[in-house]
Amino acid sequence: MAELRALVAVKRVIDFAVKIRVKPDKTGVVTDGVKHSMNPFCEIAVEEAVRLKEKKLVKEVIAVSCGPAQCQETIRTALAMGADRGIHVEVPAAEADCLGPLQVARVLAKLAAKEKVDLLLLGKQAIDDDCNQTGQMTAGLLDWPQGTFASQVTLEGDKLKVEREIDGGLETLRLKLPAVVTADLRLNEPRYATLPNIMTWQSWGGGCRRGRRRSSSPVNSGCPCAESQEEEDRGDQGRRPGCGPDLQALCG
Amino acid sequence: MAAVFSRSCRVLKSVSRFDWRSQHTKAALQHEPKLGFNFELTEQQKEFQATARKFAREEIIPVAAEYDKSGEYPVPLIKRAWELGLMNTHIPESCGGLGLGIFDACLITEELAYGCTGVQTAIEANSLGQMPLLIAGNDQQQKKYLGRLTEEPLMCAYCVTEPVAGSDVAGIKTKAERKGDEYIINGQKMWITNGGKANWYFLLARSDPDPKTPANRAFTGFIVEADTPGVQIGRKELNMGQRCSDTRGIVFEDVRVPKENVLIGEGAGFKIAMGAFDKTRPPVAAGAVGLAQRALDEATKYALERKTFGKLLVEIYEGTAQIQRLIIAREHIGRYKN
Repeated sequence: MAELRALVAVKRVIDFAVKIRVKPDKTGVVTDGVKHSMNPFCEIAVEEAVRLKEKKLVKEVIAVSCGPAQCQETIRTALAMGADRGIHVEVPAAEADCLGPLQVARVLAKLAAKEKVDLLLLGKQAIDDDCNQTGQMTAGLLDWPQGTFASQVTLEGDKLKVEREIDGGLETLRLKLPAVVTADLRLNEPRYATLPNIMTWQSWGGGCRRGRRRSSSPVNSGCPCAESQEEEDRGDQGRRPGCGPDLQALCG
Repeated sequence: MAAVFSRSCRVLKSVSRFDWRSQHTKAALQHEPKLGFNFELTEQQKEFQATARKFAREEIIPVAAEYDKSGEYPVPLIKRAWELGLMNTHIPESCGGLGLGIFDACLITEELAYGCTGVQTAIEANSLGQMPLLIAGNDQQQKKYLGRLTEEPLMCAYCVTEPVAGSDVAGIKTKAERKGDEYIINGQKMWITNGGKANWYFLLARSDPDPKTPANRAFTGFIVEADTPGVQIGRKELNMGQRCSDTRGIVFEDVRVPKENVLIGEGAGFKIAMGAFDKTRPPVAAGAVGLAQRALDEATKYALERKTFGKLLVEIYEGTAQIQRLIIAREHIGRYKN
């Protein structure tokens, strides 16, 4: 059972303690110069993956993030918490605004298949958009079983026992591997990134070859947007321009 | 008048949040390439600061009041800080440490002090005790005594101050006499932080009894193991603040120290002690800044809650003026520190 490999997806979001301000032109929220950090639910997912590794149930933990160059900070934090490898799927800053759950799900599905992982862990939702869709969509695209809102994850033989928090209480599922699990608040208490670990991974990313693989996709090839995402005017938040990065080409 | 108050209320409300420094009222910061030194923290420093901040707010603050009341030495907190790598940051990588500089230490100390300066002092006193070894210790001494600190959460202390001399380091009276391969130490030290909890001490003693010898030749620095016979640890002194930090007097009566534990050589002690001060005063100041920040945050929070004469404190002119003064003072200290 120690042959399992886990992929953890992490998202870089505005820090929970920061006061959000709307941009003067009402097209979104101010993100320039604002403190960002890893999504708290993603931290819980990373912590769970690292704990499974410490229990010797998982052999390797890979952290992945989709977005512009700054996502590397988030992957570094995941590495400092105990992940073994990091993958940064680079999306140009201009298109990053249009990166929604469906696009990310497609990327993760492709990566999970490529890396041949047995377990895909995510946070249940991101605190900036509260979509609560990425995990479910990825499971759908991969046709893998899913255990969402997990408050306890254990390995029973070759099945994954997931205890989920649902409206009526707690539900226990036994999933065949490979599976997708999304982490809920009470799954665990994430650890700190210790200073020695931070120092070890501080040079990851940029041009550093260690453990990083750039998605070898024609994301930057400039193909016309293959997908548009219409969103209603959310008043304060404004309308997001309909566009989508050409991840269609990536996902082939 | 009312507009000024309501505006200051809004500013104060945003100031009292967690990361008050990250508040921006403008839409975007323009990052233009400019000439000159870049004062922005590096990625690694930001991460260090984040870990220290999280530790202070989640682990130190909830228990700080209890430790202040009881004066008990915060062993669990120190152990946790040691595990996270927040302690012993100066120790070189060859001895198992992080080999960080003073700036990083100040960054971490400021965040810890936000939680409790008693805990921060206990942690910082370790750096003070280690500094003479870091600047003057030879390889064996460093590996032996600094290595101990990275293997286990042990403490060390810096014994220079005496009842008769504190600021006047050259006036200390503790004697060290050479006898064969050993030195015999006799004297009394006072106000030693971590005195009762240290595993070893750095001790400054007068090795040349001739009063005419100048300071830069008369003193010698020693490493003294705390369990050496003759080391008598005094009672815990009650401080007005930082009450959980362990401060004691220590009496050295015929304490024998092997000559291997002399730093550099006989007569080099004064310079070592002064050199250690050079590197350890900035973190003390940083601790003060952290404390000032906490005072500001707590005062602001209270001013926004407390009602008297039918209004919130912030709405009453006097309250706001006090807080404005605190903000200005904090900014000045912060800038001076930089």
